[in-house]
Amino acid sequence: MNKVNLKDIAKHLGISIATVSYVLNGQEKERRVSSATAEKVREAIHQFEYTANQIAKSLKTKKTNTIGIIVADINYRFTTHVVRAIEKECQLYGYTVIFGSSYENPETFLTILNVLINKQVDGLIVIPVDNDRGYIEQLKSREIPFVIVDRVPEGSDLSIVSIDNKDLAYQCTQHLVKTGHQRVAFMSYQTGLSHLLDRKAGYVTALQDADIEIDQNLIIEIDEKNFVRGVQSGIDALLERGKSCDGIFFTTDTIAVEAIKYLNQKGIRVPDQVGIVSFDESDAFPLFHVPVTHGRQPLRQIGEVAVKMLLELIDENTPKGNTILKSTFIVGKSCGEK
Amino acid sequence: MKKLSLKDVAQHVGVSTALVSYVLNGQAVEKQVNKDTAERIMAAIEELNYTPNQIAKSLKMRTTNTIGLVVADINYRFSTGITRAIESESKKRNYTVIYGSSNEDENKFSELIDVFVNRRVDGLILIPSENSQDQIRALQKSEIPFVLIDRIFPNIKTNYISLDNFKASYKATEYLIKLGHKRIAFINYKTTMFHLQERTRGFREALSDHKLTIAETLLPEILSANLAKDIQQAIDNVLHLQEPCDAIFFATDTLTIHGLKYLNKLKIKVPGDISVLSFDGSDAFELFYCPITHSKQPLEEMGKLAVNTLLDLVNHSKINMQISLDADIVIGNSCGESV
Repeated sequence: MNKVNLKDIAKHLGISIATVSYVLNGQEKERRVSSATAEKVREAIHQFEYTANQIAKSLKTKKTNTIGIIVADINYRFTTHVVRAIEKECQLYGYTVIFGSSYENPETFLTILNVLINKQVDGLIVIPVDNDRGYIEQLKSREIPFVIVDRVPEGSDLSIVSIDNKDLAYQCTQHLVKTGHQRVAFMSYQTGLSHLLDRKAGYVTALQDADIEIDQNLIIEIDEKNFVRGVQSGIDALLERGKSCDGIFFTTDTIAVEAIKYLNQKGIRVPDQVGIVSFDESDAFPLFHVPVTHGRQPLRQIGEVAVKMLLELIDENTPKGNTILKSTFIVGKSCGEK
Repeated sequence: MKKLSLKDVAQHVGVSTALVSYVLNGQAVEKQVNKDTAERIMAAIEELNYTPNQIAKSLKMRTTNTIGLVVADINYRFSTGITRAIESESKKRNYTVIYGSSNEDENKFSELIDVFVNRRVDGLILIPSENSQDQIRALQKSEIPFVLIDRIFPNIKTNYISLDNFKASYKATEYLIKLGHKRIAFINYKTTMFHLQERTRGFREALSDHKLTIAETLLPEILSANLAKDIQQAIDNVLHLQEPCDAIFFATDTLTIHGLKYLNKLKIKVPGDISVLSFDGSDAFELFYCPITHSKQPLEEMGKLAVNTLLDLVNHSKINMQISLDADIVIGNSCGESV
């Protein structure tokens, strides 16, 4: 079949190529194309079965109007909200978003990276899964603009959006102390990831500042490969007689939800028997019988800022440094608050 | 042993390093590398035992080995539930999954399909958004292999893996009836989407088959734009009827979560004051004080079938796969089972 192009359609309708292009790109309202004309263009396109070749377009402008995201795990609440925010922001600038999930695996991260570059994205937003700069060198060698989110690597030659993990963890721990808990436990993953290590540092500093001795028995670090078992045996260990903790700080919403499930199962009453605070918010919390006290990362803002930063980078490639956004702390009733 | 470089491989075959690189990166087709040359290069790589890094894996297949998965909304728990299954099966078959989310917008849906098609993913798995029939028809005319999952358009014949929503809803409603509930409310979205409408149809037919009257006031419809408010209003309405309801059947897990949140707020006890049944489970339910009875979609099976069906299509098998699976009922205590 004869492949029809923009020029043919414009000629056929007796209008300018620009007008046809606007309708094709969904810009008719912006560019004030009359709805009758837009309708005619759409009809013609349908009739001629025109399919705009994105790559042909991109050869002209050298851009494909697509942004790639590499997320750490598509099942994290963090991911769903940040990606949603990125998509919304990208829509304002006419960018489409595609993404892949590395599942916290450095090899998978690289595979996704290769696929996205192969798919000719204009830029990348990445949530890294490694602390060493290997992946950064890979990204740089591909000469593609990229913004790093959430986990902060060393180096001032990068563009990063993050939060102050240590500070929010400090607040969470301090809150447990202030609400009368003296044996405050910590539940996290066994990990080298910087953002989680920062949360541990916040916990430690908060206890030190309150003159509370750090008890290693109250620090539980779970192997994520054995997640449910890890959480359950962690809770068992913490509430064992003699070692009993009276408050627990969970460094992620996933851990918090699994732990609360188990506490429910065992009939352990919150906040009467144990107070709890979660670093992150979960959509499951409102189903619990008391509002859960938790931190709240500025997820929407993280997405928006990341996009703005990336678009600047795509325009002119000077690193933007680390933008640290503020989190908030939501007081519930899970620590026995009045 | 001396470490081999790309250059060594190129020299061995008698071609440029660029060609070797294209083959290694799965770009042989795109970059129009001569088929015989590509084969010689691959043979050399194996013979010489050259492994640059993970990219070498794509060596074995001459395609880019990607599946484009378009979900309706990345926020939907269902979306993430099924993606786990799709990822796992894809990994076994050596495919990478790249996602796009349409946010229930048919224009976005169309855009994403364009992006994936133009960038030559090997195939597509789609959860179509409302009103995307035209895009699906256009896809059928193109050569790209695709499978629909979860939602279908009954007037368009495509390969699909879905749930028999009518049957599952009928079964769940019947379950409530057999437990003695007589005035069951059904809370669903106001929608044209077939799979959701089928849930309403199953509910109605179960009531009618058991000779229970269908009061329209017990079938409030929710606008997704106003979710929390609408659900609260709907619950208020069904609780304050002259003859109030004794059970609420929520058509999706999202609706259930909002519903339970509100019932908590109103201090209404489940199942003591009212029974609750959910179509679709959710991890969130486990934070509630009462285990929630729900129909459970076979997400793992659906994901697995979708991937395998798609890959059969990719490998040029002629297929006609229209599968409607059954849901099980996971029994909790929210329908007064232990009374």
